[in-house]
Formats: sequence, structure tokens, C-alpha cells
Amino acid sequence: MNADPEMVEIFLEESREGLEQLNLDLVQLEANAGDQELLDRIFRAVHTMKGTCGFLGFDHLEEITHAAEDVLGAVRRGELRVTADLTTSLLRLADVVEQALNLIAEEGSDEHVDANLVAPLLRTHLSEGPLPQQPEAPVAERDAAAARAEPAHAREASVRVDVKVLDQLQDLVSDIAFARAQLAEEIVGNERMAEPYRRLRQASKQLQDIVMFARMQPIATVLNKLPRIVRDLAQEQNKRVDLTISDKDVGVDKAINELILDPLIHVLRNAVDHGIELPNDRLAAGKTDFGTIDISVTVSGSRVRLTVSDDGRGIDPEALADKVIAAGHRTKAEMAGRTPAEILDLVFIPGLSTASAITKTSGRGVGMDVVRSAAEQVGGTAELRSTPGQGTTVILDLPLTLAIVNVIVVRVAGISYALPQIDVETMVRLEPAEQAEALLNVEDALFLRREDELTPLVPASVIAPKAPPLAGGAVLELVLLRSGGRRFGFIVDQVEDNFEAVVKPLPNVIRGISPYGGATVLPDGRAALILDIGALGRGIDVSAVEAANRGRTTPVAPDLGAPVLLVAGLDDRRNAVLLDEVERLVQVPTSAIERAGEQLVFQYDDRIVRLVDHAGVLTQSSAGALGTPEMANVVICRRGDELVGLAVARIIEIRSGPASWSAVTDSRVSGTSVIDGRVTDLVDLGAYGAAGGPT
Amino acid sequence: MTPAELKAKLPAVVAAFRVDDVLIAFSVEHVRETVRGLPFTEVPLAPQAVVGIANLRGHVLAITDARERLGLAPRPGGTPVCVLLERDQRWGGVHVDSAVGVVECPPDRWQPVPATIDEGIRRHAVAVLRGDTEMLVLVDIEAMLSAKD
Repeated sequence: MNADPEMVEIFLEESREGLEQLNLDLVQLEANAGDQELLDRIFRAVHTMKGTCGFLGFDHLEEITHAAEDVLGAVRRGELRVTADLTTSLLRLADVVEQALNLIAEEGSDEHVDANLVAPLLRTHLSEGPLPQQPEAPVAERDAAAARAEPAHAREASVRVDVKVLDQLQDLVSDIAFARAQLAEEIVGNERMAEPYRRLRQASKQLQDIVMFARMQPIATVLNKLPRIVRDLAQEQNKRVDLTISDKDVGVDKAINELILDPLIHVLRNAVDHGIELPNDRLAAGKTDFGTIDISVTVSGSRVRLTVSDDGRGIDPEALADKVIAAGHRTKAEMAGRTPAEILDLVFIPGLSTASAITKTSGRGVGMDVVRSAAEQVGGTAELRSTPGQGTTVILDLPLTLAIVNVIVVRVAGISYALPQIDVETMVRLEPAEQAEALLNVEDALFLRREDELTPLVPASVIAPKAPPLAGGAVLELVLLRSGGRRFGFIVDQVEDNFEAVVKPLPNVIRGISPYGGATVLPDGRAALILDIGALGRGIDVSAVEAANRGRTTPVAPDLGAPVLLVAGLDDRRNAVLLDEVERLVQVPTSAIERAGEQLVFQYDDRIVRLVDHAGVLTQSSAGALGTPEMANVVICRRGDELVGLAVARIIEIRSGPASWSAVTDSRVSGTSVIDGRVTDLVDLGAYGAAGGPT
Repeated sequence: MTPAELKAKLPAVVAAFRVDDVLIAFSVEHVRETVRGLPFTEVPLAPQAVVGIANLRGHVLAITDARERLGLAPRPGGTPVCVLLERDQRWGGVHVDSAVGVVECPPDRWQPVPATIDEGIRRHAVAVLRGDTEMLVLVDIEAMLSAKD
């Protein structure tokens, strides 16, 4: 029999929607086995599907749903208990039905649907035997009640619209908005046009709002898929997980909805696989044997925030740091001095997996970077917080709509670009006189210094290779941006405007060029590129930023001279040696240091090296002897071909030296300066001639 | 394509444009309009073939330059004419020096591209039409709108 294609279309659409609810209801039923209302709804869904299959001649699918109906009937009569096994079988049914629907969509018939995939499995439950009868409302009565509860067809009030129509409407709305802006310029001063124009403007704004509203979908469309997914993951891992989702009643642009499912699944996989412990481990840790994952949805302004929290074992920043170093993503030196929050942010490094075991669901190699890049793709952010032993929270912050974004227009190397306003923190204008104080150049990377904080600056050349280098003596315009937990400044010619931009796709030939994120039409009718702030920020040399910010607690010297190694001598007195002269830092056993007259020497690299004790670390230490402490910290410096060791109490840091050193009378010191508020002497190793003491 | 297939696809009416000392033609089927001095915005990171992007009634499209595409010398000056082309709902603009006009051409008068013309032109040429004094070169629209060679 060939069913009417239109009927089949409606059947498929309704069944797919019903299937989603079915998945959700089955998982809920497992947790609330006694919920008759829920059970009735599931029964009704399966019953309706069976009926329609019979009507449309889908015999195989009818057989499958019939078996399910039998099982559910037995549950309703109290003859069969809802167990994890039964739930698994019923969920399997949902999967097979989904496959069948796909086959029907492709082939127009269910001829190739194999009823044996699930019908026999379902029927095995029926042979599990009846349960002891409990006094309950007769089934016939409940059937009648269930029939009454069937929602009246509210469908008359709405029609189905192809998503493409919505996209076309969106395009037309932006065309109108653009034409209106042009019109506005043409009719300036024309009194007769003022009133019609005002009405046009109002209507087009309203139209824009309505189309935007029409594109909104409840976020529940996506969130309702999650309970089933979490259940399957938990079963696979022999874990028990309770998923709660609060406030699903939020509408978001359908494009956002389409985008968030994959990242959410990824976060949930991580939570179930690596976060939630096995029941016994949880009990041992003083927790409940079942884990809890909570998803909350909050809306503020035009942003929606999805917070996924689990009460699992959390992520240990130290272990993560070790892993990051071991995997070669960062060096040990780069990781030094990082706060736990800074370390945790590294879970978003591409290719990093915190998994210690490979499982079916979250193998190695795919990490949280997928989650962050998906969020950034729509102008959102992803963050992670964790307390070892207590759990992990992942926060996705996303815009509610995509189609229209507020932008500021900036001119860079003579060309106008749009920057999404959501990423713009502030704008800074630096007069030439302020620049010496406010700008810092570290190894060719430029930083803005404000209130002890260094913000990296992205030069115009990133998007305009032919842009002239920064000219001294000119006013500098900066836009400070924030994206993906990163703050940085962007050097522009000038800030021109701000407006509501309709986002247009990039033409094919320039698609995929970073940091171009999209295109738009400016109010004056010119086309302009929208820059992807996340991509713009990715160009920043992270290590340079981190190196520069590590010293941010102390004010940075205003002038930049040759870099120095700062060392502490006895009583924490400060000395410096030119970094150029430093060969390496070593620890020398004090027993290996020998005294030759007034001169101290030790063996290094098969050479006898003079040891300079400028700060009296060795000779004047409290014990007054070489025996304590057991190891001496020595900076080995090279002067021409000669190596000289400088004994120090400890190393402070490597940093830029002052532009000039003041002369001093002490012959062992080439100059002195104030660094970080401390008097610091630059040690003149040359002055310690071959005798190892001042000559 | 065999010569027969090629003939069958050749247009009967083309729009002709001057590019340097070459006459090129597009099938009128794909030419939507021509605009002299359509404002465009430069795209510094784009491939060399891309002149910029422009707004055509709310649609943002990319513009390429026929001179670059055909390996000819850069335009010495003057305002180019932008030919707006559409094929399979994909839009693009091509800069040419000037519009010449619409030319009717029975499909059987198109001839294979001679091996003697410049390689830069030949690689994007589909067929030629020999006139009394000049030769009209039918060019591949996809290739003209693309940034790749």
C-alpha cells in the first residue's frame, strides 16, 4: 500500500516530536515508577503511533509499537515493574522507532524495518510474570481519564513554517532596514515625508522584532534530549546520576539551539565519565552513592547562561598542570606562579584531554576546546570552575539571538570594520604625552599599562598587512576587547559609529579567513566585515602576555634597558647582573667550594671557575663558614671566554632593567638604580679580577 | 565535454565587455546588471583576485577583477564597471574596463579557443567568436568569480 505522501509527512513530523518526549518520559518514569500520569502519557504516545502505523500500512513499525503497547499495558495493570532493564528495552524501542522513521522518510515504506530488532526483547519482559496485585483504579477507568486528558487540538491557532521561510523573512527584513536608512538620508528636511517615514520606521522595527521572535525556539527543545543521554552514559559507566534541569522555559534563536547540543553533550560526557565517581567511591568520600548533575538556565539582557554543575571528583589544578607540562603544551617555567583558576582555564587547550582512561564515550584527544570554540562561534564564552573533591561547573554564556548584533564601527588602516559590541569593554584614547607612561614594549609585543595591569595590544597589521607602523607623536585610539576569558586591546585609526548590524554571510571566496566573522551593511550603505573577536585575540602570543602579567603586582619600571637577572644577597639585599652575561643557574655543594687564598673556586664543567661572593652569602652567613647551607646558589656568568660564578641567596626574577644606572663609588658595582622601589646594584663581575676579590 | 556538448551549452546571446585590449563575453543568462563605480570595501587578507566586498541591495558579495583573472596588466586608472553575475543563486561581481553591449550569436558560430591566444586568457576561455576586426572571448563565469587559478 502506498500511503498519501502528505499524510506520511505529517506522521513523521509528529512521531519525531512524540519520540523526543517519549525519551524524556521514559527516563523520568524510571525515577518515578509510580507516576501514573507519566505512564499514561507514554502509553498514549505508543498507542497513537501504533494506530497511525496501522492506518498508513506501516506493518513492521506497527508490530514493534504493538509489542511496546503490550509491555506498557502490563506495567499499567501493575503486572510488570519498571526496572532499569525494562527502561533500557523501552529506550531501545525509541531508538528503533527513530531508525524506522528515518527509513520511512527515505523509502516511503517500512518494508526494511526489522521488527525483530526490538519486539522479541520487549516480549521477554512479559514472561517475567505478574506481580502481586495491588488494589488500584480499574484500567478501563484510567483509560477514560487518559482520553479526557488528551489535549484538544490547539493546532488551529498555529501553522508550520519551513525554517527556510524564516531565513528569507530575516533577509527581507534586513533589506527593508537598509533601504529605510538610505531613505532617511534622502528625505532630510522634507516635511511632507516626515510622518510617512516615521510610520515606516516604526513598522519596519516592529517587523524586525516579530521575525526575530518567530525564530525563537524554546531551549527545552535541546535540553529535553539530555536526560536520555545522561542515563545512557551513566549506565555504560555503572554509575548513578541524577540530572536536574531548571528553568527550561527560555526562548533562543533556532541557530543557537542547533549549536549548543553538541557542546552540552560533551560537557555531560566529561561530567559522567570523569567527574562523577563510582557509587562505592562516592560513599567512601562521604557523598551520596548517586551523583548529581544540575543544568540551570538563566537569562540576563540579551544573553543566556547555561550552567552545568556536577558533584563529582572535580579537577585537581596541580594534576592538570603536570599533564599540560607532560603533554608539552606549556613549559614548567610558563606554569610557575599560576593561580588555580588560570591553570583550570587550560582545559580549553586544543587537544588536551584530562581523561586518565580511554572510554567509549570520551576518548583522548577531544577536549573542552570543542566546547569553547562552539560557544565563541556565536559570540559566546565557555568557562570552567572546579573544586577538587566537590565537583566541576562549566558555564556557557551565549547570545539569545544571532541575526542582529550591536556593533561599533572602527576604521583600521583606512578600512571600516564592525566589532560586536558585546566584546567591547571600553575605548581608550592616548595623547602622545601619555604614551610613554601607558605603553610598554616587551620583545616586540605592545602592552597597555593601566592600574598595574598589562593588557596586550593587537596591532592593526593583524588585519591590514600593509598598515604603516605606529607613528610616534600621534594620538592612539584603542578599543579594549574581551573574549573567551582573554582581554586585549586593538589599535584602530578611529571609532566611527555604533549601530544594530544585520549579520550577512561572508561571500564564498573570503570565507574561512580569520578573523573575518561575517559581513554587514553599514548605515551609509557600504559593505563591511564583522571581525571575530575571539579569532583576533587568538593571534596574541600567550606566553608574552603571561610573562608580562606575572610581574603585574609590582609596578613596572618606566624605562626599558637591557634585561637583568635580579638576585637577592644577604639580608635580602638586591643585586642585578646583565641577563646577557648569564650562562646558567646551578646549585653547588658547599663542600665542593674551595678556598685558594682570598679566592673561592669550584669545579664546573671540568673547569675551575672563580666564585664571587659579592653579597657575602657564603662568607658572612650566620655560621660564618662554608659548611652552611649545604648547597650554594650560583649564577654562572660569562665574560668573554671566562666563566665567573656569583653566589646568591636566591633568584628573584628576570626583568627589564632601567634605561640607565647611576654611577657609584663602590668599584665592584657598575651602577645602581631603584627597581620596584628597592635600591639595586648592578654587580661588575669584571671588577673582581682573577683574585676573586675587588682589585 | 565533447565539441557537440559544448556547442549545445553555448549561449545565443552574450553581454560583451572590454578588458584591456580583449573583448570578453558572459552569457546574458547570468548577467544581472552592470554598475559603474559600485562602492566597495577592501578586504586586505583576501586572495589577490578579490578586489573587495560590496553591498548590492542588502546582499554582501565579493568582487574580483577580470584583469587579474585573465593575467592582464592592472587597470591604469579610471572607474571600472562592475558586472553583477548570478549563477545557481550565488552572486558575485567582476570588474571590467567598460561595457560594450549585447551580442547575438548563433551557437554554431562559436569556435574552439585557438592555441595562439595568451595562456592567462585561454585557461578561463570557453569559446571564441571571430568578428571582422576583433575576437570575442566567451569566459567561464565560475573561474571569473573564484579566487583560485
